[in-house]
Amino acid sequence: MGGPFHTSDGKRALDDLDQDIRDHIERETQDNIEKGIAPEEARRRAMLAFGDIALTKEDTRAVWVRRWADDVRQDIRYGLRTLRKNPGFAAVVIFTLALGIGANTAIFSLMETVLLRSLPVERPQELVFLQSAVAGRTAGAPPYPYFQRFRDEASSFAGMSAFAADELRVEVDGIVEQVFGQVASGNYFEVLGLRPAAGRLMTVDDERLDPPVAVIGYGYWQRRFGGASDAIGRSISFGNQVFTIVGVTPPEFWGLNPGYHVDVTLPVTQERRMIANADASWFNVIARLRPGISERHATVEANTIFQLFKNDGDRSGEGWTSRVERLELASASRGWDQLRTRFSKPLFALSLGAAIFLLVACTNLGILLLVRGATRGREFAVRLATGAGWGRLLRQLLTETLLLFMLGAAVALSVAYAAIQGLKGFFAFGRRPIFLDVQFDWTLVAYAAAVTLAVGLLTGLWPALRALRIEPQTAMKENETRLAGAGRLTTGRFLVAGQVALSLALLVAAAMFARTLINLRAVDLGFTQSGVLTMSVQPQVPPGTAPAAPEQLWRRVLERVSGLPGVRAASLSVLTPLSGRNTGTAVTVPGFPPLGEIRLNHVSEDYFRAFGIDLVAGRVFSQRDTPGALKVAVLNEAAAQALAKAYFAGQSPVGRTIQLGESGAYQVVGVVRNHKHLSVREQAPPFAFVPLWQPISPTPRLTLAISSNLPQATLVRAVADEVRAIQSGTLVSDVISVEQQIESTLIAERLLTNLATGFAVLVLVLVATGLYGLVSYSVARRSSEFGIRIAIGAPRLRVAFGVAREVLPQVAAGIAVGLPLTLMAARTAQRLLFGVSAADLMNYVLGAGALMLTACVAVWLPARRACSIDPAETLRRG
Amino acid sequence: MSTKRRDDRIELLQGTLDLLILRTLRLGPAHGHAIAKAIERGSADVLQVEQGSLYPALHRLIKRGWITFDEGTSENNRRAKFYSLTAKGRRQLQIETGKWDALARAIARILRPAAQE
Repeated sequence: MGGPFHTSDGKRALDDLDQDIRDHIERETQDNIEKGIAPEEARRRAMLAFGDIALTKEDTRAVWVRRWADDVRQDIRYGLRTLRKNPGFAAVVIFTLALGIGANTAIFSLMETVLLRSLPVERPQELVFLQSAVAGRTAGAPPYPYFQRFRDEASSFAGMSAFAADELRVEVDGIVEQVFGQVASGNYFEVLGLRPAAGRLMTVDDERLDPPVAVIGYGYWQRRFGGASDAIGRSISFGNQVFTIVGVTPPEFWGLNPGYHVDVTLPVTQERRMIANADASWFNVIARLRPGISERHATVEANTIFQLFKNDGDRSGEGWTSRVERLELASASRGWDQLRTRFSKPLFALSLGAAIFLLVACTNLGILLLVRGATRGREFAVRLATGAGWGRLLRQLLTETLLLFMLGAAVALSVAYAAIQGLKGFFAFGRRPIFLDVQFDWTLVAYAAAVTLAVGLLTGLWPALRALRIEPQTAMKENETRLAGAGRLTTGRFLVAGQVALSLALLVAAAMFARTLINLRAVDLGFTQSGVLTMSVQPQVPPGTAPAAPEQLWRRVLERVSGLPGVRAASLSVLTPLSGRNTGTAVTVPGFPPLGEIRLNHVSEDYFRAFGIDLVAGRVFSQRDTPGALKVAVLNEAAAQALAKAYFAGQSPVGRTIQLGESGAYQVVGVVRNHKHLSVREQAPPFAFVPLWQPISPTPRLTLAISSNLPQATLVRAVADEVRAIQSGTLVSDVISVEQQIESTLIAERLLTNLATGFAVLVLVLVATGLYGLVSYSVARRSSEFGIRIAIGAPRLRVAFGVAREVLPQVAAGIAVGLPLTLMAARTAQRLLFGVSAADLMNYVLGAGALMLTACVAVWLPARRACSIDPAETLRRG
Repeated sequence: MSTKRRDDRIELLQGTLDLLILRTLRLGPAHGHAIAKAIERGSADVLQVEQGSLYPALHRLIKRGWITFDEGTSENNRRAKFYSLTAKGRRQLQIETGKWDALARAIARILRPAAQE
């Protein structure tokens, strides 16, 4: 193939065509003159007969373009044929790519969702959260009365809004259900600049609660009302108020807490008791900066106003203004940062892992393509010798590689899709699942395509250039008897070393994270980790009837549930371990300075038995600790020690009287073992327990915990029947076993461990295929040499050993280079670990050992082939 | 490719120009002008070949590998490209001719059903 128009020199081709046309017209003119026509006229007629010259040129050029397109099509067809001829190679490459790019794309999208995505609101960069700072740490927003003054007095903000999200028990169409909802200022949606998907959103006027209105989330609208337009105007009851649904928030807006979906928004003013409280920080404040006002300027203004508060009013020295040091603004463009804080480090570690994995995949592809290029040396030589252009051959090789990569990328997208579903499931777990709104859209496809192209050029171009750097004569003449191996695949060996070094990092990471998770699961939590089921039980009092005394109701619930066959113990409490909820109170002894805050739990008698929290000294609560009896408290060891040290000269506090909160004196009657409360990693915090029937503060929300050996579903049904028999319409929700509760606090760790282990296994597979390919090629090339050596008496084992010696030193070198680099990287991840040091030798031994073993297996298979070569066969082929 | 032309001449059907070029070259290599002239003469001037339209067609045929060309000098010592039929082109000519005959018969049968055997 080689026409004039194939050269990239299109201008020359065009000149050529011009010349042809001029010649043609010249001849026609000449013919006409010979017919006896005057030269002028002869030329005119010739031009006329020829037709439109410009059009002719254009049409001809179109033929060339189509020809170029045809070439590409031909390249693709040829490429596909080559791939079909060698399906094993194609499969390995596609598999490698699909995993490398798929994993990267999935983790990129997770990162994007959790860490980078801005709120789907108007100009999110103008939004800030207003927070107070206590002892150098950020604390809640100002109490409502102060918030109102900030809102009215500060001029730096275009709008300021309070919001507090929590689980709400609402009633729709007579059915009680639990939703995730929020109360918010009337201008909340205006500050965010949102437009309704249906109806209208809340306004400042709605704060008057006349009539009370509710706005529902798009998801809830679809789920609960099937997206019907008559949802607007319907009622939602909350507490003892009825709210009318007036509108639906836009589909892309889920609230300001990433990962949680707000179903219902009510006016903040319906929290009448709380908004009067000048001491409690119970909501968050979001504000929009006025255009042109910097965050810094706004902070200065907020603190100036704060100083004014400090000076007037509140002279007791105990209120909010004296506790708080100053006010701070935090960017709210990406919403509340709970999820980010919790997952940013693990996610960075994961994306680093995914990047390293992709690099390993790249080196593997590099090795495979190099080997393949080398094995096709003859084919290229023949084609070059028969006149194929070098550029044409390069283009065809690249087409082939890119084709392969495009197939890989297509598979990678499905891998990414599956991985994203898996990751979403990972987060949507536990009592309050995290819903990640990972979008599988064109940005993801673009990302995958960009990575593919980069990888394709990186790993494809170079081996292609290399494969073409051959002298046709040598390659043609080259016989397989040539003593090869040296020289040609040096690069392949460098790639092996690099691949091993990178792989080591992933293997060590997997070992570290797996051991972290094992350690975390082995931690003594201080309570029973199995056979305990917790659920929220909320009796629904029909409107108009007098509620039964809560104590009697609860006692009856406990009696009946405890009486169920198979139930060991049942208890009611405000808190349960690792549920994520927390309450605290000040503790002191009259006449002494206050000790500060400790955790406080209200529990029924059997709480300690239900959770298997052992008694260390004294007694736990009994039936005799009634509302009228002496108020008693139980401490855990940490609290007992702290109190003993502060107040009782090291003596046990059992038998002493302490002051809990404002309300009164409690006699310490017992000490129980410590248990973890918020996380497995924490030090067990000091705890005080008081009987549910002798409350320090109201206990509106109780959790029922049941220790039993019954299957979860059976137990829940039995319990629901029992409590409904006592009070119909009781809502039993949030059923979760303690095991699940523990697992849901370990999401980040499990994510890291599972993915790191997955990467580690795949990396071993990649290393194995790369080495296997490289050594197999070398053995095939040197088969004659080996045959001869065996024929002249070389021990077969030594031949095999010689094969191994070609690559095993590179593996060792890779490990040697990888060790210090891995150690450096591991140190930065120390905070993610638990009970295992980044410098722990064991991890490195495990990683390096796994690599060495894999390498030996991958090399052994082709090496065995080398020593089973039949010398007679070789000599015959000679 | 349409410009004004005389009414008594017949415009070429799509694709037939390729066939005519192949047929012309069966007699031996020729340069572009000669091919145009041969077609006009061969059809007794009934077929109007706009000479310019010859060139895209020639390039198309080269691309398909049916014809090839050589640079040479013509009878009066002028530079010229001589197009000639390749083996592939020769086969193609047979196929195309067969197709053309079939087409012509089919159309004739439709236009003059009575004239059928």
